[in-house]
Amino acid sequence: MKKKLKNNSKPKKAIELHNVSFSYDNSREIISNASFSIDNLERVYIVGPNGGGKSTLLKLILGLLTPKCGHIKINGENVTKMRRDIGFTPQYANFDPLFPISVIDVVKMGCLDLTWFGRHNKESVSIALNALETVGLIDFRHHSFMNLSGGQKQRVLIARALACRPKILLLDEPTASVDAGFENYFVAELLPELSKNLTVVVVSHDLAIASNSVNKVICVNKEVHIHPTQSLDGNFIQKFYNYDINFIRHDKCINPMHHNDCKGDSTEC
Amino acid sequence: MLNIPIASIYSIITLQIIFGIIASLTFGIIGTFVVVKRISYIAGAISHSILGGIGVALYCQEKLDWSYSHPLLGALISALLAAIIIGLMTRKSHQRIDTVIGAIWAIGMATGVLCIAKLEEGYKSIHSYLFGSIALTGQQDLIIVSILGVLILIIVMLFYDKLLAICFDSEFSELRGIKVDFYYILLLCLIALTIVILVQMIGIIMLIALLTLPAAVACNFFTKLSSIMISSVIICMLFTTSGFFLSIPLKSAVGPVIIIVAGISYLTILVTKYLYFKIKNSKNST
Repeated sequence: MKKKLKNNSKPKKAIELHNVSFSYDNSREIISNASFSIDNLERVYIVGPNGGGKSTLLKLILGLLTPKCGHIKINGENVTKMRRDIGFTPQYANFDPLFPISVIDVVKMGCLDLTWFGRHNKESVSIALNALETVGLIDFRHHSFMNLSGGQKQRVLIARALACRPKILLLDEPTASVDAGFENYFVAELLPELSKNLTVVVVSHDLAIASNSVNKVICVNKEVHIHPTQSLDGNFIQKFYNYDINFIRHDKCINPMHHNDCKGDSTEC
Repeated sequence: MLNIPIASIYSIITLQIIFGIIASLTFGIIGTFVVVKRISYIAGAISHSILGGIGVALYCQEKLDWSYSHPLLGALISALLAAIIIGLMTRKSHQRIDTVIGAIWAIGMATGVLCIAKLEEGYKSIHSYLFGSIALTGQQDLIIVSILGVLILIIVMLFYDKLLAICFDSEFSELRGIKVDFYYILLLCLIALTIVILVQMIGIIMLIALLTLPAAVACNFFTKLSSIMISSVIICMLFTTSGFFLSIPLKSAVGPVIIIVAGISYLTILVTKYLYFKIKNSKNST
C-alpha cells in the first residue's frame, strides 16, 4: 500500500524552472526570467547560439550555479538535494588528452557514492560493466581512455553518466567534434535506447538533430523559448540567431519516424 | 684525515640508501599526482615557500632562544600553510591563480632571506636546506621520513579512487557528492608533506625535479595511474641509489648527482621515443 502511494506521488515533472535569472557579475544577465518544465521520460534538446547561455542553463540545472532569482526543482525537490538523480555527460574535449586512466576506471566514477570511503566494490564494477555494455564498449574496458577516438570517448562518458543510475540524463554537446558515424549512431540508436527509461536533455548547436529526434526544443539566447519541433521554422531560427542562415535540405530524414517534421523551409531534414 | 671505522662507514652508507628508498616510495606516489594533475608549478611554489618557514624557525632558535623551533617544523608549517592557501584560492576565489602562486613563491623566499640575513650562525645550516645533504641524515631523520611515508601511503590507499576522480574531472566528482575542495586541499597537503621529506635529501632548489621526473619517465611506458605510481616508485629508487653511488667516485654532493641522473634518463627516453616513432612512421609510409 505504502509502495503504491509512493508511486502515485511520483512527480510528473522531471525538471522545473520558475522565473530563473542568472548573471555572473551582476552586470549582464546571461539567463533572463526563464520558466519551463520538462516531463518525465521526455526527450528534449536545448539549442542556441554561442554565448547564448546554453552551458549556463545546464550548470543551473545541475546545481553548479545558483540562480540570482527564481528557483529550480528536480523531480519536485530542491536541485542540490536531487542532483544525484542526474547523470551528466560533459564534452570529451574538456578532458586532459594525456590523463592516464582506463575506460573502466572512468565509468566506475559514476558509482563513487556507493561506499563511504569511495573505494570501488564488486557492485560498482558490475554497474560500470552494464553501462559499458549499453553503449557498446564492453570490449574496450581495459583500454586507455586517451587512446580512444572522439566518438568512443563520448560513449564512455555517457556510460559513466549511466553508471550514476540516473533518472535524468543531461548531455552537453554529445555530437560536437565527433565523426558523422557517431552522430548517426547517437541519433538513430543510442538516443532512442536511452530515452526508454530516462528523461534525456541534450544541449547542442546542431539544429538538424534537434528537429528530427526529440519531442521538444528549448531555444536559449538569454531568453528561453520552448517549441515543439514542428514549429521550428526558418523565420523563427533566423530571428533567434540574429543573422541570416542558409538552409540545406537533406535528401531524407535521419529518423524516418519524424518524417512529418520536415516541412517547407524548416531546419535541416 | 678522519679516522672513521669501516663498519661505521658501511652503516652510514646503508642508512642513506635506506633513506633514499623509503623516500622514493612517497615521491613516486605523490609525484604521479603532481604530473598527471599538471600542478608542478604549485609544488614549486610550496617548495620555495618553505624557505620562509625555515628562516623564521632558525631566527626564533637563535635570536629568541626557542629551543623547540626546529627548521623542519618551520618548513612543515609553512608548506602546509602554502598548500591550504593555494588550495582555497584555486577552488574558491576568482583571482588569477598563477599570480597567487607566484606571490606565495616570492613571499616565502623573501621571508626566508630576511630572517636568515639577521642570523650570525644559523645561516650556515640554510645551505643544507637549499641544496640538500643526504650525507647528514641520521637515524632520527629516517624514522621521521618512515612515519610520514607510511601516513601518506595510508591516506592515498584509502582515498585513491576519490583522488583519481577529482584529478580527472572535479566537476563530475562534485556532482556525485564528493567534497572536492576538501580532497583537493588534502592532495596539496600530501604534496607539502612530501616536499618537507624531500627537502633534506635534495634541497629546495632541486626537489621539484625529483618529484616530477620519475613519474614523467613512467608516463612514457604506462597508461594507467596505478601502474605509473608503482613504476615511478621503482624509477625513483633507481635514480636515488645510482645517484648516491655515482657521487662517491665523483666526490660530489649526492643531491645534484641524483638530479643529473634523473634529467639525463628523462631526456634519453624522450629522444629515444621520438626517434623510434620517426623510424616506425617512415617505415610505414614506405
